[in-house]
Amino acid sequence: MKNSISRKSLAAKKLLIGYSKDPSFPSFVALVLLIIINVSIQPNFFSYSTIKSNFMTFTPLILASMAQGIIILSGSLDLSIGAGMSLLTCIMASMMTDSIINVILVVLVGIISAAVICLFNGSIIGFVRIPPLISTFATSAIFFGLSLTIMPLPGGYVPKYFYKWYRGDVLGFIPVPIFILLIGIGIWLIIKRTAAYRYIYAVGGNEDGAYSSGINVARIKVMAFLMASFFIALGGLCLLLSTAIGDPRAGNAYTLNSIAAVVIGGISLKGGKGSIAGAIIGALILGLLINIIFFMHISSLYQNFARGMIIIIALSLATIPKLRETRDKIL
Amino acid sequence: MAKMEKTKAFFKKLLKDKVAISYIIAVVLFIIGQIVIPGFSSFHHIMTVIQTSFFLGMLCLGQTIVVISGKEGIDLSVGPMLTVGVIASSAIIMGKDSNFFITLVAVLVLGFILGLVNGAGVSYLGIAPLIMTLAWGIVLEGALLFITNGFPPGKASPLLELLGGGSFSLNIGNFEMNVPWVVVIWIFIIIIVLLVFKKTIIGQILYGIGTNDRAANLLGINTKKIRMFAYGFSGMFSAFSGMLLLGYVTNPNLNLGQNYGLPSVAAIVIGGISLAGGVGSYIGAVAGSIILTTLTSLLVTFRFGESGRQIVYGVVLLLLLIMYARQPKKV
Repeated sequence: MKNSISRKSLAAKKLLIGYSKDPSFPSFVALVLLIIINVSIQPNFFSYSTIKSNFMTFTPLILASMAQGIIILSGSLDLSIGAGMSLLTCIMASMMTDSIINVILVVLVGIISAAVICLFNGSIIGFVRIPPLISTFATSAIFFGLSLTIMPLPGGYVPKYFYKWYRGDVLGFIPVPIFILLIGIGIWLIIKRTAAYRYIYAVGGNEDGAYSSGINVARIKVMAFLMASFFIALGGLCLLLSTAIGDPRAGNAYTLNSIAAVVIGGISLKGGKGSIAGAIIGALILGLLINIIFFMHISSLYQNFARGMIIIIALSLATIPKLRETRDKIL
Repeated sequence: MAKMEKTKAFFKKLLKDKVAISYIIAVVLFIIGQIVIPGFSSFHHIMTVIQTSFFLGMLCLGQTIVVISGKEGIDLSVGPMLTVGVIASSAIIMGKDSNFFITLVAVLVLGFILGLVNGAGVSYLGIAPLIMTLAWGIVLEGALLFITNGFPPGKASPLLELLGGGSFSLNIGNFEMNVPWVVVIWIFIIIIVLLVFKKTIIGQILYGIGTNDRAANLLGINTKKIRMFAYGFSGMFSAFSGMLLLGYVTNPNLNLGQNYGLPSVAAIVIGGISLAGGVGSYIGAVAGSIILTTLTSLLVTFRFGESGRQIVYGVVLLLLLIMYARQPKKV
């Protein structure tokens, strides 16, 4: 009996030690610290309604970060993620009517549009071989222009029952934003088991090596974007439901925030290193930090300043384990 | 016959030279403009376009230095840094010519120091340049907002207005030409930069650390320090651009630096500078900035409206990139 307990604790210890070497570990520690700080300034932090309202704002960022995470793991980068999400809200809001069948069809259209958007980005990077930084900047201009064509001013229509649904629950106790997030995580768990997902790590980590071992590098890069398209579609949907209008500028902040979240979560911008779990943790950290700024009643004049500083500080802290690593390498 | 072979060889060489192509594209854009709108390629208008290109061109100089220094170097804070230059110079010069030199020195030093922060984060904390400079840009924009409370003080002095927006007339025979002072300043800077890059040890070290960081390090060059200074110079040139931009627009504005960051990257890529570092020359970046400004000017005169302008801008940028910013195919 005693033996089995010690064996169990040993296994737990091993798991913890194993995780402490994971690239997302420092950010996990930071997340725990942040939750403690949040609880201390907002005593009802773990109450049902606070969790629900928090996830209403966090979910689009988490989904965008998951998408960005997959893309960055494959060695690319997507600066058009915000413009893409805005375009999705415009497309969906411009087509919705009151009937349920229409709503379902429009959501399907949204998913397909996301796939087309990502396929476009992915092909330019994978097949045409233009550096992702600059090609996704060009496509973001195109997406923004398309959104403006569909909707020169924020508007469109979302049926009341649909955006009310986003503020409600599934099965009586799971808030819908968390439910959508769980769908996203479910999709990720399926994607994770595919061979293509492992190839993404190979391509991101060492493109030449992956190529010479027979992996179709261009196709894997496009696949990474296609996988990300699910999360962009879900993120765009959440954005639409939380604001209830289509807005060509709604997603702008998500481009930088998703990249920051991914980097805070321990994914290397060079690709091939890190995990999507890290991206989720990074997005939660960023969301909670913005929460703290909000609850400390900092004037809106200071908010951008604080946001940028927080990203820099978080990234400097995230480099500490890396510094230890380089020191070990030198010694 | 031999002559024809020679011209053929000349054209073949020309078509392989990215800098030459970018100048050809600039000329083609002017010709298209002239066909659609007569007068687009008058001497006066060409000078006006080059005059407005100067401000992007100065940002491109900083961007060029940073990108050539390698290690995924990129400076996305050039836009906010330009705004810093605008606001700082207007606050110091206060419309008086007697403050001109102190303003010039102060702006250059301020830009250099603020750029060094980027460099320190990138070199010594090991933060990825992309996210470091983006976040620092947000910090600077936020700081300007609360320092000025949204209402930047001061305005340009007559001398600064003359340098930034004025021109002098040049008579050759019966032909009178108005040459903006900015163009003269630009030509002067281009000559100095090319001399420094090609003929001095500074240029060689810069290209050296960009091509092979480790080799440069083994040769005894403190690559971290030099890379940090590269960001410092980038900040300095951006702030300088801001000072002359104040002369061009007379009254300071917090939004002047928006939409400059990524276009400066696009411009240098069009000018044949590799984002991988160590390759390229500023003379190409000059062409790139002229191309992008001409394109914007064309789109404005075409009266497309915001949405059409964005789409065409994105599509043309993509086409330019497809034409010759493609990465080599693996063999």
